[in-house]
Amino acid sequence: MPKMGDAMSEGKVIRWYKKAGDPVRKGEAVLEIETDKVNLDLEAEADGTLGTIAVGEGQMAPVGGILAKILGEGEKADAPPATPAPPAAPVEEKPATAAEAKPAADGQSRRAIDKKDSIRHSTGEYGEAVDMKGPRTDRSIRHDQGNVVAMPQGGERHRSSPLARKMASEMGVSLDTVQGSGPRGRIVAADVKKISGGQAAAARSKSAMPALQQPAALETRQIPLSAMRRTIAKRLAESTGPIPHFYLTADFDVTNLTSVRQQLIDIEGAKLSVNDFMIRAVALALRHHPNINASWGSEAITQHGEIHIGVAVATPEGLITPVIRNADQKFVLEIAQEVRALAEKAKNRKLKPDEYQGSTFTISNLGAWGIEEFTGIINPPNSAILAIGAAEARVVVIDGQIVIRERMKVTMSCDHRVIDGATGAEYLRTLRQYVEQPLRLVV
Amino acid sequence: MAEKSYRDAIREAMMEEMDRDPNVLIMGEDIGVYEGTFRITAGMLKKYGPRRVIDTPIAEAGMVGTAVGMAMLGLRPIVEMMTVNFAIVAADQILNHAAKVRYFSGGQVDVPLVIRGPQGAGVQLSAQHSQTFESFYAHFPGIHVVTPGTPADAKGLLKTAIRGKDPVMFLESAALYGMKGEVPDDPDFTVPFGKSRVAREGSDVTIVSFSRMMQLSLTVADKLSKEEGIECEVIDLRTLRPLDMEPAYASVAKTHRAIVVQEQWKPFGAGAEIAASITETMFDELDAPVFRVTGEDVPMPYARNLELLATPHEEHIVRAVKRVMYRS
Repeated sequence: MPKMGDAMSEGKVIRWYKKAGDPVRKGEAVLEIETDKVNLDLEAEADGTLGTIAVGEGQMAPVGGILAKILGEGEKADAPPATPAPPAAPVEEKPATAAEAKPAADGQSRRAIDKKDSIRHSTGEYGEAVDMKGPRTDRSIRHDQGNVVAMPQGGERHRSSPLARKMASEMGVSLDTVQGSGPRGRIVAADVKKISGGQAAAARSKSAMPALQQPAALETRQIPLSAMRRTIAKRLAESTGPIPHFYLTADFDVTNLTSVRQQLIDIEGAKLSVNDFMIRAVALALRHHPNINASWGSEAITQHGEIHIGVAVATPEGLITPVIRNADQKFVLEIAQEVRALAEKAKNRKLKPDEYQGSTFTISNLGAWGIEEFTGIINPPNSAILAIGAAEARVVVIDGQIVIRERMKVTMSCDHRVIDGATGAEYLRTLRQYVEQPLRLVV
Repeated sequence: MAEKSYRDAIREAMMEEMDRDPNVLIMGEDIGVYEGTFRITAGMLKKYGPRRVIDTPIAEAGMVGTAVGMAMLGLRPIVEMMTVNFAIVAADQILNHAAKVRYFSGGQVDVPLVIRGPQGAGVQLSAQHSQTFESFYAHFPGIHVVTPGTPADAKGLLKTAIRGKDPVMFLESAALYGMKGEVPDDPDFTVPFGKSRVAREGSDVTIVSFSRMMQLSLTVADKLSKEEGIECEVIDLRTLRPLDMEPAYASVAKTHRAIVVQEQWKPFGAGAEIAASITETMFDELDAPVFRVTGEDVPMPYARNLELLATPHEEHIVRAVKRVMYRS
């Protein structure tokens, strides 16, 4: 089990693509693991044959623990269990398996195992032949057996047609709210069309509410903590405990920004959100304030030489913050594309560690949910997080006149060990200049 | 424009090209004195004589090998296979020689050879004589595969085949020989290879097909339109190599659903290639998987009732159309 991040101490085997005795090639995906943040395919490190699987599907292994061995040429395949276990069942503990699971202390112990295996072979229990007779665990076949397929724990996967997904994304409709009418609950274009009327209208006008779905019947149940949920809990508790938070709220005028955004959409035909502009604005403002782009340490405060913005993304399993690197050096359109690609990966739990680690500042935006303002909890080792509310038309007084302007509230949570009230306020003043004069963001 | 049968359109194409070019000749089993098992070559021996209408022994490998040599040296031979099933005997000549000579000669030598004959089920010829071979030949680079579905296409595509410089497998549908349709009289009327056509416009489901199954698809499309108000768009591929998928893609962009109809067995057939191409190219437009309607995976039975059960039927296409519309 490889260590895929600083916080990782153990990982879970989601599924084996190969079974014992299968040939594997260097670089070929052999199994999928769940780490604290993402699901990853593990690739074979050498050509060979897959030996006994030590950690079955659904089981945990500590970092550094052995999952299986790849046997080189000449090394004998392990005999499979007498009755090959179904994929989700724990692997039977057999003496040989246990011995294999321990890292071979030296060449001698491995030779001893080999000898044992060759004796077994000579009695006619030829591994491959037995394996061929065992029940097939072909994943494509499992798929066709309807409801018996166990869902991976956590969020349930939507079955939906490609067209339905495309339409939903274009209309801004979440598939979570769509009831599928196709085979095995597949969401098809007609289902999206049915619901899109209401939702699209809701998206256009903040006052309109999305249609209320019939809630599921109440029941008491325990949801086992996923590795991701454990990590979120641990890290955020670590944050509010030792970090003295304070909060600064500002109300920005985003009338010009929304107008520039619309123009860019019209000209470029691109998908652009206010948030994409905010990522660039936050990054550019950080250039002026290296004391915000900083991390607390027991001996020193580190000011970072690069600006990497973490963007909080909600996934069915929980929060993750993919990172836009050097966001101060990227155009808004570039940022928009990158955010979209990373968010998609995050939703599929396919983010790689270097795609969600190393942020120097984080933003969280609940504007799309109609939240006016909120406070975020600092994502260590960042010193601040900016919580962005919804941009909406509000009545304000400018030069003694009552006018309607697009306004947006942001709240910065600061680590008081690194940032003082005035330092934070100065940063928000700079940020305001970028946000309220948005041409600075696009030139 | 006159109404002609598929059979007469093929004969007319050959005779017009023999009139036009003295290098065109035809050879095959029982095509001369007997005037052809399916009467395609009726009257040709009398008109062109035995040097250009050559009765051969029952020796397909020899016929095709001879024709490859003729073509390499500048003649334009047409080889009639009594049925395309018999061309398997000559597969080495077709696939390893005709299809490879230009490549091996570095582009110096062409093989303008047409191998044509009937294929397919529907006329009670049993397991060895009812097969269809389009995917078998279309798998190989270096050879064109033509599958006409109308009398006009039979004539226009055959003329393109005879005038071209490449080896062509011209796969006629035995069951369509008697089918009549409008055929242009112009002796220079040709239909280019690699140009699929929209045989019928519709907005609900795209049916991609060729040859006889394209005709069956048209029948079903009319029936579905009248009885259920479902409008199918039927794409006639005409040639499988070169394969023009553009009209099918454009159609799927409109209908978001497609089925493929082929007479062949399902595994590894032309329908698999077509369905995969649609999925690769038009994935985001699809609202349903691309389903295949195919023959049953058995050797073709001789008995009429069993032969009917083993070949795609109107009802199979109706079911597939409703399945992709989520109406079944």
